Amino acid sequence: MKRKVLMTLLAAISIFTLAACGSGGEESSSAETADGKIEIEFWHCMGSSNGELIQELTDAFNESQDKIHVTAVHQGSYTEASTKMQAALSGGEAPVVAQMEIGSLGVFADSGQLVDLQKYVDAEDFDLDDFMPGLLDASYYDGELIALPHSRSLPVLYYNKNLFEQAGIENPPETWDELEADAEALTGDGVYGYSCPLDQWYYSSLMMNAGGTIYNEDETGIGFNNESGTAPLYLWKDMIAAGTMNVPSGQDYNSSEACRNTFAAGTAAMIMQSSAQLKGLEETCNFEVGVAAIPMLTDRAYPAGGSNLMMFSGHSEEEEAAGWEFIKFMTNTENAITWANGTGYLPVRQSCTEQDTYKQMVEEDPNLQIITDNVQYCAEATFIPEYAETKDIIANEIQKCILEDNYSPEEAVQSMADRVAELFQ
Amino acid sequence: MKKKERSASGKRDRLLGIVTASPAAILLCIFTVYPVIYLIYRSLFSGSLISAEKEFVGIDNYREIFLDETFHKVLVNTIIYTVLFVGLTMVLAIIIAVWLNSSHQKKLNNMVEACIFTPHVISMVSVSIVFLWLMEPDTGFFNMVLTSLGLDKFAFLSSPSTAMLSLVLVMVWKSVGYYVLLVMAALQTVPASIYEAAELDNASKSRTFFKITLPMISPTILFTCVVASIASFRIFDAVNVMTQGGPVDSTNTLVYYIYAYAFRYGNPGVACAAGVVLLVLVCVMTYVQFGVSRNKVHYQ
Repeated sequence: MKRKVLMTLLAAISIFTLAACGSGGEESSSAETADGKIEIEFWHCMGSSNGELIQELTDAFNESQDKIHVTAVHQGSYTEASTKMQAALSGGEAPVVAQMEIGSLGVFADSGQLVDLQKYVDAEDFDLDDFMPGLLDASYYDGELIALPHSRSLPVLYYNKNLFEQAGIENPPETWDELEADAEALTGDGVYGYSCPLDQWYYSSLMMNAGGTIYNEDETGIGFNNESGTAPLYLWKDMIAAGTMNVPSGQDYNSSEACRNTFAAGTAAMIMQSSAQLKGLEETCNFEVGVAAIPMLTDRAYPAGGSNLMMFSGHSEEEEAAGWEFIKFMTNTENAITWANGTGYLPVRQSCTEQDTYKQMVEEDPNLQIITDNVQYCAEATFIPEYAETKDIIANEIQKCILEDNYSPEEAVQSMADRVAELFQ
Repeated sequence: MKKKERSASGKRDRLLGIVTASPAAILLCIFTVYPVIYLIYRSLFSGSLISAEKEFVGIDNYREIFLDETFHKVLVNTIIYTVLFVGLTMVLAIIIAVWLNSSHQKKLNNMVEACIFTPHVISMVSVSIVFLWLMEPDTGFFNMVLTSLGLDKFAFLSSPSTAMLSLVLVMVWKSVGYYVLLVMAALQTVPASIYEAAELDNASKSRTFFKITLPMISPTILFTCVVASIASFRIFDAVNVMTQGGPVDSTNTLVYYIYAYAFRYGNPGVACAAGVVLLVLVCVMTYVQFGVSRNKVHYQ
C-alpha cells in the first residue's frame, strides 16, 4: 500500500517535471576572436524586413572599423526577448548590448544589471541634448543613464481618407466629441467608424489626454484615480453602445494586428495604433492612409513606446567599451534616419530633421512629419520593476469594464488603483 | 556453509541491482528530485530571477497567492478546463473508437483514423494561430458559416463568457485522435467470445456496450483519464498564443499564471509557490484516480 502511494507520487512527479525541461542554453555571449577583434553579441527583437535592416546596420558597423565584431541575434518579440534575457542574466550568459522594450527597463535596472552610460558621455563630451527630449526620458532610472533611444514610437490615429471623403469629413477629429461625431458619420454598411484594442497603451494615451498620469507624483500608486481614468472608459462604452466602435479580438499584440486588419480591409475608418505601423499600413492599404494625433479631451500627452538600446553588466571593460561604440553607431544621426525611413520608427535625434535625406523622406510622405511633430508631447517615463504587472492589471480592468455588464468605469479605476497600490508596498 | 553462500550471492544480487538501477536513479535525482526540492526551497524566497540578493520570506509567497483573487480564478479556470476537456475528449474518443471498431469498411476506417489523428502531430502553436484566425469574430471563417446559415455570430475568444469553451474545443479537436487510438487498441483486446455469448442471449446493443465493452476497457479509460487530466492541468502553449489568459483572466490557467509571475512580473518566488500548489494537486489527482481504479475498474 505504502509503496503504491510512493509509486503514484513518483509517477505524478516525473510526468509533471518532464514538461519543466526545455529551453536550451545560449552560446557564450562574448569572446575575443582569433584575429584580435573584440567579439560581442547584440540581441534585438526585430523580425522580417526590420530584422534585415538591423542586420545591415550591424554589418555596416563591422565594416566601418576593424577592432570590434558584433553578432546580431534575433530573440523574438519584446516579451520573449525580455524572458530570455532574464534567463541569460541568471546564467551569466547575457549579451553586451540588447534592444529591450522600455517597459522592461525597471526590471533590469532595479537589479543592477545595466551599465551606467553616463561615464562614457562625460568622457567623450557626447551630446545627449540632441536626442528628442520626450524620448530620452525613458533612458533614466534613479538618475542613471542606462539606455539610449532607438526604436521609438507613439500612439497615433490612422484614418481612411477615402471613407472620410465619402462621408464629407475634411479633417481628422481633434477632440473626443469630434471623434464620436465623425465615427457616427462614418459608420454604416458593414463599416465601423472607429476601432481600438482594449489595451493599456491606448487607454493610457486617452487617459493622459484627459489630464491623468500613469503613476502619481510620489510614486505610490496610479495617477488617474479620478475623471481622467473613467473618461476613456465612458468614451469607449458609449461608442460601442452606439455601434460606432469595433473591438478587435485577441489580446495584446494579437488585438493590435486584428485592429490593423479591419482597417486595411476598409471595415474600420479610424484606428489607434503605434506610429511604427505607418509604413506597413501604407503598403497594405489600397486607399490613402491619413495620420493624426490621438484626439484630446483637455491635454495633449502620450506615453511613448518602443525600445531602447541597453548595455548589460558582467562584461570586461573592453567589451563594454566596444558595446558603447556600437550603441553610438546605431543611434547616430545618419543611422537614425536610415532606421526611421526603413521602419516607421521615430527619428530619435533633433539633428535628423535638419538632414536632406530626412527632408526628402518627409516630402515623399507628409504623414511622417505629422508623427514627428507630436514627439514633443511624449511624457511619462516612470518604469518601476512592477511595470509589466501594472500593464496587465490595467488591461484586465479595462476589458472587464467594457466586456462585462454591471462593472462601472468608477469601479474599474478604483480597482486598478487598489491593485497597483499593492505593488508599491 | 550454505548460509554463507546464499548471503554472498545475495550481496552480489543487491550490488548488481544497485549498479543497473543507478543510471535511471541518477537521472531521476538530477532531473526530477532536485528540481522539486529546489522548487519548494525557492518558493520561500523573494527577489527576481536576476537580483543578486534573495531574501527569505517564509510562507509569504503562499500567503500572497492564497489571498490573490486572480489565483482563485486561475484555479477554478484550470479545474473547469480539465473537467470539460477530459469529459468531452473521453466521450468523443469512446464513441468514435466504438464506431470505427464495429464498422467493416476498412478504407473508410483508415481515412477517418488518419483525419482525426493528424491534428495530434501538428505543432500546438500552428494550430493556435490557425484557430485564432478561424475564430475571428468579424471576419473569421466560423462566423462566416454561422451567418450564412442565418445564425447569430459567436464571440469565441473575444468574450469572457465564451473564451474558455472555445479553447476547450480547439484542444479537444487537437487531441481526440490520440485518445481514439488508445481506446481502439483496448477494444481490440476484448475477446470476441464474450460478444458472441451476448448475441446468443439476445442482449441489446446498448446493454452490450454498457455491460461488456465499457467494463472491459475501463483500465485503459482510467489511464487515459489520468494522463489527460494531468496534461490539461498543465495547459500553456495554446493559452499563451491564443488568449494570453484573457479576456479578463477568463482563460488564465495555473501554468500561465506561473509563467507570468516568473518571467513577466519578475517574481519567481510566487511562481514557485504556485508551482508547488500545482505539484500537490497533480499528486492528489493521480492518487485519487488510482484509488478509484482499485475499487471500480475491472482487470482481467
